[in-house]
Order: sequence, then structure tokens, then C-alpha cells
Amino acid sequence: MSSLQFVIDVLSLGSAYALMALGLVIVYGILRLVNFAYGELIMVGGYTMFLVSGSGLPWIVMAVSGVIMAMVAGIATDYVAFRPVRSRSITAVLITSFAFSTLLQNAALLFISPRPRTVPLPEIFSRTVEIAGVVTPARNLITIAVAIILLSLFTWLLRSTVLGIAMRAAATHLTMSRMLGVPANLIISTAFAISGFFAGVISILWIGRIGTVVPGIGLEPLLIAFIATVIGGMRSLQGAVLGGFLLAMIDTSLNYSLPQSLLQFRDAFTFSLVILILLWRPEGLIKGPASGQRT
Amino acid sequence: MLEVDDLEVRYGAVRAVRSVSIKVANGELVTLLGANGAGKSSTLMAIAGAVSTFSGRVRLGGAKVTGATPERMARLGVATVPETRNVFPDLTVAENLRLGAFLRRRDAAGVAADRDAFFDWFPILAERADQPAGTLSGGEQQMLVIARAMMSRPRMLLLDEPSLGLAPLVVDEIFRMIEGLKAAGVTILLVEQNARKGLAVADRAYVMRLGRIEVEGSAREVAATAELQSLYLGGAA
Amino acid sequence: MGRHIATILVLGGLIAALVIGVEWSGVRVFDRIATNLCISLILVLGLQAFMGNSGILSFAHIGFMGIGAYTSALLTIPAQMKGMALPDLSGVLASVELSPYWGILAGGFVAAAVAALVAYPIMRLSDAAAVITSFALLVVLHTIMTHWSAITNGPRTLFGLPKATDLPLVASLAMAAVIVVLVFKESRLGLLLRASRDDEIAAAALGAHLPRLRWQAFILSALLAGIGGAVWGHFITSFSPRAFYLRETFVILGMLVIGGTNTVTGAVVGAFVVTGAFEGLRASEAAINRAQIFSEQVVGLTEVTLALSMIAVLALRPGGIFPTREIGYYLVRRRPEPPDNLKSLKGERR
Repeated sequence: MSSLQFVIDVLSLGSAYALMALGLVIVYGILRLVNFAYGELIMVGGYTMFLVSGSGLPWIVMAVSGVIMAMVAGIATDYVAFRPVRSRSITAVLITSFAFSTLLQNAALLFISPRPRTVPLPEIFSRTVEIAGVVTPARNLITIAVAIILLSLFTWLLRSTVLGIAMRAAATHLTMSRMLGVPANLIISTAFAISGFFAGVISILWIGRIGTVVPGIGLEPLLIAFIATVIGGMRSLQGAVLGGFLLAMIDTSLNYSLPQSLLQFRDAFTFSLVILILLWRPEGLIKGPASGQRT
Repeated sequence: MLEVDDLEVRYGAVRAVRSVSIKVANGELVTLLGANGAGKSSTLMAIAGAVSTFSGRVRLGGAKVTGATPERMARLGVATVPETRNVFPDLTVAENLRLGAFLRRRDAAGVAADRDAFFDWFPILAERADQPAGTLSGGEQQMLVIARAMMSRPRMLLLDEPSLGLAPLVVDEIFRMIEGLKAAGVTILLVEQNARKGLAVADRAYVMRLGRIEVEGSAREVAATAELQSLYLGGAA
Repeated sequence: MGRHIATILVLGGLIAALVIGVEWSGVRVFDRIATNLCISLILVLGLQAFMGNSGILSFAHIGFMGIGAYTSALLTIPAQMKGMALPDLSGVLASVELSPYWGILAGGFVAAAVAALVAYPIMRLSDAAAVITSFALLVVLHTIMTHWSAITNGPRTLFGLPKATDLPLVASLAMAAVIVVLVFKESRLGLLLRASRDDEIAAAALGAHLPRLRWQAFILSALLAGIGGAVWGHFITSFSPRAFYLRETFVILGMLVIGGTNTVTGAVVGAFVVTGAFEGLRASEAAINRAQIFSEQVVGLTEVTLALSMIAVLALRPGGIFPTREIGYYLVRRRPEPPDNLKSLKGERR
């Protein structure tokens, strides 16, 4: 194993993890609400791709419909799980989003199937590529490229457009931004739509990795997003990205260094390391926007 | 322009504002005075839509706006500056101002012109244009949020305790700014604890105590009221 | 004080009435349902002890149920069976064979010990981060249970627990849990914890160290979860790690939320209501499937209904059926009494 191999692994896994975390933080940053149904947005993207794949349309149609449906599901989450209870406690929203996630999973179970369904992907995903002597699946490079593009796009959106500035303001102080005429509902729906967009992209990349979709497919990305967000600092976008890469580094290192017998416990080791990080920095690695409010 | 009738605001069981009636005519500067806890801020926030009205009516330019959302009030031309100031600390000064003109965002040229006008009026803001607003001093932040509110070219400005927490010299500067706005014809409803400053700049004034209006009249009349002292020292919570 | 006694009497009476009714009816199915209900009571009460007082949603609770169940299993499965089911087990664990009552106790204590060891860092996190991390903890516990084949038989079912749980035992444990959780809630620890939710700084001035308080509440909840898990193990006699994961978490959480997170009465009422609804739904599902109304088997109806109910309850009555006051309050009214919840002191004007 060379260090280049390691670097590529970390970068590609980190890219995926960073995107997962970002999709979660967008909603959390503005609403201070954790969306437990986020994993199910990925599931919706995956199942849409599965359903469309049967129609014989080109792959790109399949991918785009997946992303669109994930965005729709994201906005639906706002209406079903968040708006009815938004003014109540934070706990209420956590539970409703958890309930909504159960709802979606059971819907998939009922209406499609509990068994894994294969999602065909373009041949490029499984091809391998050689760089400086290291052989790596093309999808790793695709993941890195997609992450770079999306992160740049997203950063530009937030920095330079009025909508982006409004979103950052809403994340700091929603009521004040409303007093300036920023429509709160629009901002929130946009946040959910962006979150769904990220989820849709992730479903493509994730299924590229595992090849099939099951009702529980969203659990692992959800967990990754959770942990990356917590170690990165709950309200900071850069923190989410950093957290994603850090987590990828931990996972990859453990993958390479754990003896075979302990490999299946990798998640337990990762979690222990995360706990240690949190012991050292409970607020996460990067401080979020100052707001003076209890997180 | 603004008519408030019999306003009542409650926080749970607590009646913070009770049957308060206020009028602000076009171009006037009206001050709402009172000690801490008198209900002045609650009145203002209820008008602004940030806090819910229990009962009563609020009319803007004749149209009913009771219980309107903050977004709607902003769209109707009412700009609010809460007492907590609420600069967006991670946004730069320029971004704060740009957001103030959110409702005029299609008129990029006009917005830029206004922004430059404010930069001329307050060179300190120009100096700090690209700094995060959170790094500004209290007085600079107050200037920023008033300028930000004006960026939307509102027909009415609601100002909640602009002098709060500021040193006397800075307070003077802020009130010079307010006078300048008044001279430019902006209608202003000002809430102030600093009675002297509040009356000096006002056309008319109301004094609140324990949620009610106790005294009203022209600024001069109110200033002369002997009860003013007792209202401040003897009265509210 | 009278209120608290009234609460204990009413809730205890409810449980007693359940037992008496079931025994008198003699129907075996009712016995099973009632036993499951009492086990759920122990679990929900444990969760209430932490969530109700700290205000933090904990997803890890069922993980500790699993720890309790597996601990008791290891200690109580007859040695011979153990040798067959868990061939990789060695040393004292392989040969020990305790009475189920010790097993249940041990289950509780081991769960509490693990909680004590692992959970402190989580208590220092902000509310949302703590919730997320508790979720991760659940997954990790589940992963360990699923893969540590030497002591859990991996993802496969572990057989052989002695059936020691009967309705009187579990009902008594449930009643004890009611008392313990209520006493905790009204103790200095519980009061400080609840006070800290509303104003951390003021509570700190009273001597509250928030992470420690949360940690202690968490340990108590894990203790009850472990006991509940062990008791359940000795009722069902065989289980796999699948039993200690998301579905159970969802159900127990649902019971607490619907009944009322902040009150012990809520925990008890929620368990009764949801169990009743579940059994009703299950019967309907079976009837629908028998009548072949749909071409395929209808499954997941209960989860979907529970999910929708939770959303509805939280939208309409976010505090649950009993949001702030225990039932004793409604029965024993006194003249000016100190508020149950220090929150009501915060009524000042702006």
C-alpha cells in the first residue's frame, strides 16, 4: 500500500462524507433542527433511480430524476415533519423527523420491497484508472471531482448571491432577517431543497459504491453526516467539510491498520476516537457563526 | 401614517402592554418613553410583527396590519431596528447593508448609490466595509443597523432603544444621525429610556408605565410634566 | 408531598389493576400483553428519568437494554447450553450459572457501568450534538452486539435463557420503577437538572454542574434499561441483536412522547395507550390479512400509524397527554404551593 493510495482513498471517501455532512448542516444551520429523515432523502433518490432504470431511458435521466425526487422529498420533510411543530421545542422536531424517517422507510418496505434492488450504473463507475502506479476505481476520482465542483458552487452561492447572504443571515438570526423582508418560508424551503439536492447526489455516489438500494440505505450516510457534523462543529459549514474529511481519515486508517478479526468493529473504534475528540473539544473543531443563542 | 388602537400584548399570563393607543403622522418623530419593563419594546415589537398581538388594531396608512408577519411589515415599508441590534456578525458591513436592501435587490444601481451615500455620511462604515460586522464597536454597530434599515427606503422606521449600552458621546452621534433622518422626512417611532434625548428630538411623545400610556402630548408638553420624574423613579418594575 | 404520594398510588394502582384484571380473566394472551406492557413501563420510565429531566433526547436507551439482556443471558444460561450456543466463551463466564434474579440485577448494573464509562463526554455537548451522538452510540452498541460473536452469538439468535419472568415479578419491578423515577425527579438532583434546562447560569450558582447531573441521570436510565432488558430476556428466552435497535427505540420513544416526556405519569400513560393501540392495530392487520382485502400482506401498519400519531401529537399537544403536571397534582390541590417546575417563576415582563 502506498501513501498515494491512502491519500486517494481518504480524499474520495472524505469527499463523499463532506457532501453528506453538508446536506445535513444546511438545514441545521438555519433552523437549528436536526433532520433525522435526511438518510431517507438518499433512499428516495436511490429508489427513484431504481424505478426509472426499468424504463430504459438513458442513465442521465435516471440520475437527474433521483436528484429531483430527493429534493422533493426534502421539501416534503419540511411540510410534514418541521412546519407543524417548528415553534415547539427542538425535541419535538427531532422526534417528528425521526417519525417521518420511519414513515418513509416503511413506505419503501411496503410499496417496493424489503429486499435489495440493483441499480444499474454507467460502466464508467466500475472502470479502474491508473495514476502514478496506483490503481483505483474511477468512481473515486468522480467523487472527488463532484465534491470539488459542488463545494465551489455552494460557496459561491453563499458568498456572492443575495439569496446566499440571506441564508447566512437567516442562520444567524432568523427573525431579524425577516424584519428586513427576507421571506423565512422561502429560505427554509430552499435550505431543504439544497439538502435534498446533496442527498440526491450522494445517493448516486453511494450506490456507485454498493450497487444496490435497500430501505435502510440511508442509515450509514446519516450516521456519517451526524458524526462529521458533530466533530466539525454543529453550525459551521467549513466544520462539516472538515469533519467529513477527518472522519474519512480515521475510517481509512482503521481500515488499513486494524487486524482482520477486529475489522468488523471498526465503527466502534471510530466512535471511541470521536468521543475522545469530543472530550477535548465539545463544541467541535470549528466554531460556528456567533449568535448568542443556545445551540 | 401609523395608528395603534387598544393594543394588548401578553407573554403567557403576563400582560405587558394594555390598551395602548398611539398615532404617528407622516414625517413625525414620536418617542415612546418609560422605565424598564414599562412595555415600550413590546409595543414596538408587536407593531413590527415580531411578537404576537393579543388584541387591538394596528393600521398603517389606513390599511389593517394587526398581526402581520415581519416580512409583510417590511414589504409595506416599515423598517425595524430592535434593541438587540442584531447585526449579522459574520457578514461584512457591506453584506449587512446589501441585505438591508433585500427588497430592492433588483435595483442594483439604486442600492449601490444608497450604500455609497451612507458611506459618505458615515466614513467609519466605509472604512470597515469588508470587516465582519461583529468586530465593530457598539456605536458603530448601531450606526450600521440604522443604515441597514434605511437601505430599504422605508416609509417608517421603528427604533428600539438606540442609545442602549452606548457611551454618552456615542449616543450624541446616534441622535445626530436620527435627526438627520428626520430632516430627510422619514417617519420615526422611537422607543427610548433616555428621556432627555428622546424628547429633544421628538415632535410628540407618549410615556408608558406598567403597560399603559400615562402621559401624551407634544414633546415640550411632556417634558414639562412634573409627573415625569415620579413615573421614572417611583413606578415600574 | 401529598401530590407525590397520590401520583404513586394512582400509577401503582393502575399497574395493580392491570395485573388483577389479567389474572382474573385467565386469558393467556392478556398475560403476555400485560407482561410486555410492564416491561415497556420499566424501559419508558428509565428513558423518562433522563429525557424528562435533562431535556435531551437519548437514542441510546435501547442499546443499554441489550446490554442488560446479554449480561443476564451470559450469567444465567445453563452451562451446558451455553457451551453449545457460545462455544468461544471461556473462563468463568463459560461455567457460571446464576439465578435469573441475580442475572437481572447484574444486567442493570453492567448497563449502568457501561453508561458511566462511555457517556460522560456526551453530556458536555450541546443539546443537538448530544442527541446525535446518542444516536451514534446506539448504532455502535448494536454493531458490537452483532459482531462480538463470542458472547452474543453474533447476529444470530441466542437461546436458552431461563424463563423467570412472570406478570407479578415484572409488575412489581414496574411499580418500583415508578417510585424510583418519581423520587429522582423530585430529588435535589432532579430539580437542579430541570432548573438547568431553563437557566444554566442561575442553576450553576446553586451548585449545579450540568454535565455531571446529566451523567447521573443517564446512569439511572441505563440501570433501568438494563433491568428491563434482562427481564425481557427472561420472558422471551431467546433474542438477537435486531431486537435492540431502531424499531424498539422508536416504539419506546413514541410511548414517552405521546404520554408526556416531562412527567412520570406521562411515561406510564404513554406505555398503556401505545400498547393498547398496538395490540388493536395488530389485530386489525391480522384481520385484514386474513380477509385478504389487499392482494399482498399488509405489514408495517403499526409503525406507520405510530409515526403519524407522534407527528400529530407533537403538532397539536407537544407536551403529550400529561405535559407538565403529575396526576397527583390534579387530585391533591393545595393553596399557594411551590411550583412543580421552577419554570413558572419565569414570568417577568420585558
